[in-house]
Amino acid sequence: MPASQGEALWDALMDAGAAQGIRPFGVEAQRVLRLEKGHIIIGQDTDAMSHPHEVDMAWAIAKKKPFFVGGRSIELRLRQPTTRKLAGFAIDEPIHEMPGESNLVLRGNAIAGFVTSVVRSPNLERVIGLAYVHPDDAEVGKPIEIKLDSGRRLGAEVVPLPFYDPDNQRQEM
Amino acid sequence: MASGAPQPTDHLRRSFVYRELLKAGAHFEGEGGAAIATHYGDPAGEEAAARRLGLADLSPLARAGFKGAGTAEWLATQKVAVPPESNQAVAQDGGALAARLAPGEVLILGALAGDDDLPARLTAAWAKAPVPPNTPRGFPVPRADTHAWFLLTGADSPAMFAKICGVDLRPAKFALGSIAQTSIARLNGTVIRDDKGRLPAYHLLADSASAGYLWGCLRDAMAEFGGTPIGLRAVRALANSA
Repeated sequence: MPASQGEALWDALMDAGAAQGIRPFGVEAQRVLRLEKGHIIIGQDTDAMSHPHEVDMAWAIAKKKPFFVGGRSIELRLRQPTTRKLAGFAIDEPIHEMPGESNLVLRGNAIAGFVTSVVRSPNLERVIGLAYVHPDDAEVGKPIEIKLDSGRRLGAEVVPLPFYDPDNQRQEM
Repeated sequence: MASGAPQPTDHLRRSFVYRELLKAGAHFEGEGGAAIATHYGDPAGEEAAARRLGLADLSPLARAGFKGAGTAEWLATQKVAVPPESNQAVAQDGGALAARLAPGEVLILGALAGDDDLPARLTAAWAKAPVPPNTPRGFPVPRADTHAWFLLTGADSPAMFAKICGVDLRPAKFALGSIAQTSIARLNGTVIRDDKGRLPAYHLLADSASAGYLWGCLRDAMAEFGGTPIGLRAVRALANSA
């Protein structure tokens, strides 16, 4: 798209969508939507130690290739015990204090992981998020505990991903 | 501004700073598929102001870039007078300017008179050449989209530049046709000296995404000299007053 014509395209899109009530939306809406669908953001929901199995993305690894860059590192990593897993969690409203990204996930008094993403979902009317939890707690229905900024602890429940529209019905509208 | 007068939003192609131009009271005319500011309400006074310090937005005018191995040789086959060295610019017969930015990179600025279509002719000729090429001919770069194009005119323009650019652009130090690829108001930019008549004048090309910021910096730096925006009409008058 030539930069000098970008604004004209924007205007045309807004005109074309006027009858349907088209509106501009910002990055925050995009962040909520992606989290509702359980899409991770590399660098936010992952860190330097993350590996595909930890974030349930082993499906993306080539199984038939004899070699690929990073393959050996994954092999070496898998020989180590898994100490955490990225899981979806939900908290029913109302809550008095919103969890924040980087809030710790505790298991007893031990640190099991931390919250990587969390929002109030307007579609689900609950607080939803992603967090690294102890592998034994990553199963759907398991309770986890989040230490809030105030120091208080808040209970949450591990729920299946994606949070919203698991059968991808909305794209068939 | 008269109702029904041409407006930037009448066109698909728009100057990167058209809102700033509207705020400054620009009157527009259609030119090359876009609206260009021709004057700001006082064409005669504008020409006089341009002799002291003027700033014109030429972004809607045609320009083209070619880059890569074989660029200079291919342009020569298209009858373009390519400067022998980097950081030099030479005027073409039709009024366009060929600026050599690197051994393998040339920027073509269309003629300000608007009656020469060298950028479009070169772009079309490049596209028509056989694929794969018989000889290397570089590749086109969309300079009309990547870069905004401003022109600074007038006797005070070197002093104004001294506030925002570390290169000494005074005529005695920066010869006609010289190019500085440098930092202007903390933004990467290309400055090309191309006098209009006997007046110092400098083309300034910089990232189109930062054009509004740069326009504001230039207006701010010009204020102490009484510099004003000028339209294409004043630029053409200066160019014809050799």
